[in-house]
Order: sequence, then structure tokens, then C-alpha cells
Amino acid sequence: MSENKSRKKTPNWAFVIDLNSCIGCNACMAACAQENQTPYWAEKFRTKVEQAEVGRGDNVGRIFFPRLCMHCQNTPCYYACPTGATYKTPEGVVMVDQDKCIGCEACVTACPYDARYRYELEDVEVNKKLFGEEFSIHQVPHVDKCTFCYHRITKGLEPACVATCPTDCRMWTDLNNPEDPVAQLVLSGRAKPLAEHLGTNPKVYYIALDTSKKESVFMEAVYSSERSKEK
Amino acid sequence: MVGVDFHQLLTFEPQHHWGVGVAIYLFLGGLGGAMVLLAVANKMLLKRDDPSLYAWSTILGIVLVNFGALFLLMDMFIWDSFWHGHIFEILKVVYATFGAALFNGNLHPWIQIGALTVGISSALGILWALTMADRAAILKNISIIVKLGQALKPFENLLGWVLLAFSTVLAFYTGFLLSVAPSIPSWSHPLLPVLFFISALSTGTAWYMLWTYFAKGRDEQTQRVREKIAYQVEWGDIVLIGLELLAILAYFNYLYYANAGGKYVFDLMTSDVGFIGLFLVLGLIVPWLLELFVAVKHSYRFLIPLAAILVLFGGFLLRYYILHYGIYAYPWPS
Repeated sequence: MSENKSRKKTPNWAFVIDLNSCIGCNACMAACAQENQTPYWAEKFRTKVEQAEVGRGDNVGRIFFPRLCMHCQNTPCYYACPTGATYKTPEGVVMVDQDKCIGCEACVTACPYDARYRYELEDVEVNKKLFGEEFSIHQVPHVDKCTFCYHRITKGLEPACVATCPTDCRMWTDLNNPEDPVAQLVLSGRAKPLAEHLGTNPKVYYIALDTSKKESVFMEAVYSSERSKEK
Repeated sequence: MVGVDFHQLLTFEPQHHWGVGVAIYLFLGGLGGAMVLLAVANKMLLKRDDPSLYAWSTILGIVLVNFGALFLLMDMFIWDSFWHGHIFEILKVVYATFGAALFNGNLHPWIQIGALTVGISSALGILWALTMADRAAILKNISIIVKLGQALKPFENLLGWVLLAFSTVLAFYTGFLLSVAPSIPSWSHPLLPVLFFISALSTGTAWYMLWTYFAKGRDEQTQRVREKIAYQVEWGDIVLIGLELLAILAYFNYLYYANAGGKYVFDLMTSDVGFIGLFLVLGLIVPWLLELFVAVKHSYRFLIPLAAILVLFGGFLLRYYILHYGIYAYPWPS
């Protein structure tokens, strides 16, 4: 009985990204860089927004694709790490223990989502200068990645990128709370994980671009190019 | 998504984390492991007696594996620390890698399995080679080594059987080292460990071809055994290269039909003049034909060392190109 209670209490956090509402403002990247002291001066980020142009000639559009660590439940980086530096919290958040990391990059090569980067010695030194030695959260060189802002979510706050997203493209939920509308996006199957065929079982879900809406910038560009081909 | 080709929905990006140093390790690790494996297998299974060949092949094999491991360490992590003079960091690497396996039971990563296998095989290999020191060239002249070897003599068989198991793992694990990368089609390929294992055995065999060609036996009986071994390894390598060609065909067949990422890598590799010309033709097909020619004609034996060197060259190139074409297929648009 008590075991069931504690199981209920452990949250099953998930992250939902709606590709239809991302406007590519990169506020998420800025918020994350500030919150987690990522080496933006070396263009290394825990979260990124990819962008691609579609269409031809005058009829072009731009699509945005926010990405971050997927916190896979079948975790390639965890299985690749030779020292146990990569570990999972009871809630399933994948973390890196800086002191155990030897920088072999086995996890970086194993990650199917390009979610990890090397926090170099130079980055540590710059970070200490910028944030102050005692406030620097990166004390030694290591491999760094998104933690879902573990220090925030365990205090009941949203991850920094979710809190700052102006279009609510990034959403945060606990899948153990089926009443939550964001959780329903996942539980209904509308939001799907990325590259499901890899079997990594991610905790980040995407709502795909709505291709039925001709008025969307993306589809307008695609249909225009199709029409110009037909002519 | 109508009207969008897959290049817009996938991002192909070459990996740049593991470089030539890792390719050198994969080559020397496979070669060294196979040299030890073939020495133990010849002695323990085929019962052929050639102590100089087995002792020196084992010692050299272990030296090559450990020398290669230095390249791996440099490529992976020690280089930065070395240049920054952070000796503590280097010690931390060594402790963390071995300590995690020994004290935390962290045995699931292949790097960890490899580190332990290299360590245990090195110790066992040296001890096993010492048991033959009294009859092995050069070693028999060093009295302390001979005494040590005599003390180990009662354990010769036990050491041999255990070493047979560990050297097998040593020869094949390098393929598994790369396999934990699900979005790199050329690495997470199910046939890669098989391909690397066959290639390792072929390069190990090339070493035996060189030894049996250049080193003559000290007496008639040893020479007769060595000729038998030479005949065996030459035909053995013909079979191994044939199997390697078959494995490569299956490797590319799978890449072509597996998914868009695999097809992309297939196109790149098969249009690379270096891969086709240097590895496939010069490093595999030419030595195969040379060995077949010598074996069928029973003459032109001077071609054997040339074939062996080409096999070694091909063994390195295989690993270099597999690493070079470690291309991520990321599931987002570019």
C-alpha cells in the first residue's frame, strides 16, 4: 500500500513541443544559457532551435525545430558511459556527474539527438570569470547536457526554457496527472516522440506541423512550389 | 509531408569526436588480439610446437594492443589534460575507467569491458609467454626470465585456456565499441563486430605469414612445423579474406536497404575512390588474388610478404573509413 503511494508520488515528467507555434525567437536558448551557465561564447547550448527553409523562388517559408536532450528511458548515453558519470534520477531525468566524467565522449557519440557537448577547460575558466568562482556550476571540464532544469523542477518550477517561451511552444507536464491538458496531448497520441524507431523511448514529445492547414507558412511554401512545378 | 524530400527532414552530420587515434587503436587492438588468439589456438588446439613463434607473437600482440590503447587515450581524453599538465586528470581517467568496473561493478559499457579485457589479457599473455621462455629465441638467454618461466610451468595449460577465452574477446570487442551509437548507421550496424573480427583474424594471420616467411626454424623439426603453420595460415587467410568480402557485401546490402541514413552513407562510401581503390581493391582483393595465385601455383612465394603487408594496410583502412563515415542521421530538418 505504502509502495503504491510512493509510486504515485514520483512524477513522470514529460516535455511537449508544438512545432506549429515555434517562431524561432531563440528565447529558450538564452534562458537556458543564463540559467545553466552554458558556454554561449563558444556557441554551445543545451537546447537549440534548428531552422530550415522550404519552398522555391519567391514562395519560401522557414520552419523551426526546437530540440534538447530527450531524456530517453532506454538510454544509449547511459550504456556507453564507462565511469557511471551518466545516471538517471528516480523520475527518469538523465544527468551527468561532473566529478565522475572523464570526457571520453562515448556518450556524445552514442547520443542519437546531438544533445551533449564538451564543456572544455577553457569554458570552465571563462564561466568562472563571468559568474564568479563560487557561483559557477561548472567546476571541472566534463560533458554537459540538458537536465530538464532539475534544480527548478524539483522545487515545483518549470524548466527555464518553458517558463520563458513566449508562444507556449514548449510545454511541461507530469504524465501521472492525466487531467493536465498537456499530459493529454501525450496520452492521446497527438504528441509523439522523435525517431521512435530507434527504441530510445524519449520523454520529449513533438506535435508535428499540421500539414492539413494550407494557410500555414510551411505548407503554403510547399504547395506553391508544387504548383510552380506543375506549370 | 508532400513535396519535401528526405534531405529536408533529416540532418546528416559527420562525427568529429573520435579521430585517427581511435582508428589506430581499433586496428592495433584487433591485430594484437588476433596475434595472441592465433598463438594460443595453435598451441592449445592444434598442438603444434613452435615456442619462439608463440611467445614472441603473444608478447608483440600485447605490446601492440597497449600501444594502440595509448592512441585511444590520447584521442579520447588525455590529450587536453596532457597539454595542460593536469597529471591528476590523467590518473583520474585511469582510476575511473578501471575503478568503475572493479569497485562499482559497472560492466555494461564496451569501453569498460575492453579496458578489463586488455588488462587481464596483457597479464595472462605475458605469464603464458614466459612458460615457453626456456625454448624461445632471445628469451632463453635471459636467466631470470627462464627461472620465472619454470616457476610458471605447472600453470601453462590453465593460463593457455583462460588466455584463449580472453584473447577471443580482445579480438572481437572493438566492433562492439562502435556499436552503441544508434543514429550512426555505419557504426550501429549489426554486422560490424563480425566484420572487424574477421578482419582482425586476417591481419593476425598476415603477421604469421610474415614470420613464417622470414624467420627460419633453428632445426629441421622446427622448420617443418613452421612450414606446416605457413601452409595453414596462407590458406587460412584466403578463407578469411573471402569471408571478409562476403561480410562487406552483406554490410553494404544492409546499409542500402536499412533506412535513409544507411542509404546516404552507402552512397558516400561507394563513391569514395580511397575506400574502393585503396581499401577494397588494394587492401583486400589484390592480396587475396596474390595469395590464391601462390597457393595454387606452389611457387612465387616472394609474393607472400607483399600480400601480408597489403592485408595489414587494408585492415587499418577498414577501421579508418568506418570511423570516417561515422555520419549521424539526425531526425530534424536542415
